[in-house]
Amino acid sequence: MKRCIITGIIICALCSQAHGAAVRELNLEGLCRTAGTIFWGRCTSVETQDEALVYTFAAHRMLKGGSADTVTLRMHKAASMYARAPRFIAGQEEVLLFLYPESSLGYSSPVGFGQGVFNVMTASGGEKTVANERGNSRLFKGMDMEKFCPGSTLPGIRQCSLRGTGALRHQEFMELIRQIIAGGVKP
Amino acid sequence: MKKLQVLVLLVLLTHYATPSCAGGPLLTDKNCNPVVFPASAMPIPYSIDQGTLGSFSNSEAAAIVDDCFATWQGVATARISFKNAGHLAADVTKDNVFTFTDYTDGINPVIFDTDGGIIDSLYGVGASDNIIGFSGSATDDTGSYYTEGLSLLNGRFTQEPYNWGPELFKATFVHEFGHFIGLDHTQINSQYVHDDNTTNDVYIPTMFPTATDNDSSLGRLNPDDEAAVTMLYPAEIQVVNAVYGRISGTLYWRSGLPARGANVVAVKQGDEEMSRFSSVSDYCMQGDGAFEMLVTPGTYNFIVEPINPFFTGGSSVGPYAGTALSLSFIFPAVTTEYEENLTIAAGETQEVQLVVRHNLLTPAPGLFALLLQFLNSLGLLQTAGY
Repeated sequence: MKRCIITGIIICALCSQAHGAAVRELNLEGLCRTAGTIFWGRCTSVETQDEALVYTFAAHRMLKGGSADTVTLRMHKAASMYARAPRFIAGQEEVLLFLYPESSLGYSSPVGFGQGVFNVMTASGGEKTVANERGNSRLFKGMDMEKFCPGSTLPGIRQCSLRGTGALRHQEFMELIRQIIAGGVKP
Repeated sequence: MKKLQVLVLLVLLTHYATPSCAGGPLLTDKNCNPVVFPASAMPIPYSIDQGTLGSFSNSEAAAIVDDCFATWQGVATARISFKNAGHLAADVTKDNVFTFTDYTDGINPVIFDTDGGIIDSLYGVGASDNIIGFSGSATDDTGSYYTEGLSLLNGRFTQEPYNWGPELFKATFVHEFGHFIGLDHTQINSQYVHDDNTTNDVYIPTMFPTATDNDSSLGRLNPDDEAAVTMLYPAEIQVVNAVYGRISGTLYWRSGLPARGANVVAVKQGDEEMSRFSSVSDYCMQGDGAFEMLVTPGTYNFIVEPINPFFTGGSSVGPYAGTALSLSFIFPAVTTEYEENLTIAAGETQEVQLVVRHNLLTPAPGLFALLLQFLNSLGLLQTAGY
């Protein structure tokens, strides 16, 4: 109970603050390896429960971590604000999320904070594209692209890996994630 | 160089007015004053964890923290000081961390998460392999002053496979402690950040938002960092006037409306790479396009550029870059180099008005589509597909 009260005070005090976090850069392979849950979905509700901010997502497709229709993300409220962790708004645009496995306290957050949050955008022809807060910059750095998308498969991904940055086709990106999780394309 | 559109370039004052608006504050109050720790809070005390920081002993870790704070304190033109107030009451772990997160006890804890256990328990399993640490401060009820802060360093990075030495921790936490005292990011010399050339990273300011090819030099302040902390915490006026001139200005669109959320850079002739100073237009969020910066004496050219569209969220630069849909990224400024020079002496204040064009096609693929999607969600577009 005492902890709840203290945290409540902290939350009030943190209404405005100067803050920042230092986060190590991860490539997509690292994001996939680190995440316990990867899914494409949309935030449907945000609730405050004691020390936690609880986000519920309607999962359109699970890529790692089960096959549920909904995913619940519990983020520690104060800790999220200290570190300027990503926030979500119910009904906001679709996202492709990489989440750490839940801790013993039941908390999680996006892997690498903004690195593990890919906004899903609809381009002019109706095609969906994805980009994280870094515009996918260096997302494929150090990766053996031939292992995951050999030859002319996933051409948009290959172009982006050469460019080093830029939005990616949503379907290709999900296929690439699937290949990475599976350990690469079988020869 | 492109033809400039400087409307007015007037020398208005020869002495400073009362320091008010600043370049690079994370927060400003409703009167455009940067949010800072008050003078009565100096020296700002910080209290150090009793435990170790991974493979560093407590005294070794404390020395890193002392060194990081001393780096900011060492700026002669800034009146900011810190004091090591000794140890916290315990070795902070995931089991007792909440005892030290109160913002009303007068203590600014510096926590050593020796094995990353605190980070893992708060952010998720494995987060300690990504989050190197953080630092932040909270304001009082009026939103004018910071009252207390909290910092956490992750000892996991002293161990395999990272094996960080004190130098990399210093490079990281001089930056984080910059946030602790209220400094925002700057995007000066971003062309050097990931060009695989480690020798030019010395020109990247400490408050740059991301890692570079060689972070070790980020532990030393650059001219833009020193000017920014001086804006927030100016020393006696004669001390500041002896070192800096002040450029105060307004950025307009060609339509004559104030331009908000673009980066204005003053480049010193003869020292173009190191002596660059910046301010985000309308950093006070007054809607007037105002910018302000301290510069060392010399002759300057100006560059106006859009905020890097990848610097959003925790990497944002200026007050209009929180998300990909923020104002800095909607029809942003076209990068413009101005031909006219401005020569400024120490103690002098000069005013400049700059005009810049909108970029009607945003530079980052996808962001334009995101904007259209957003407008469509508001019912402002009728085109099928958006």
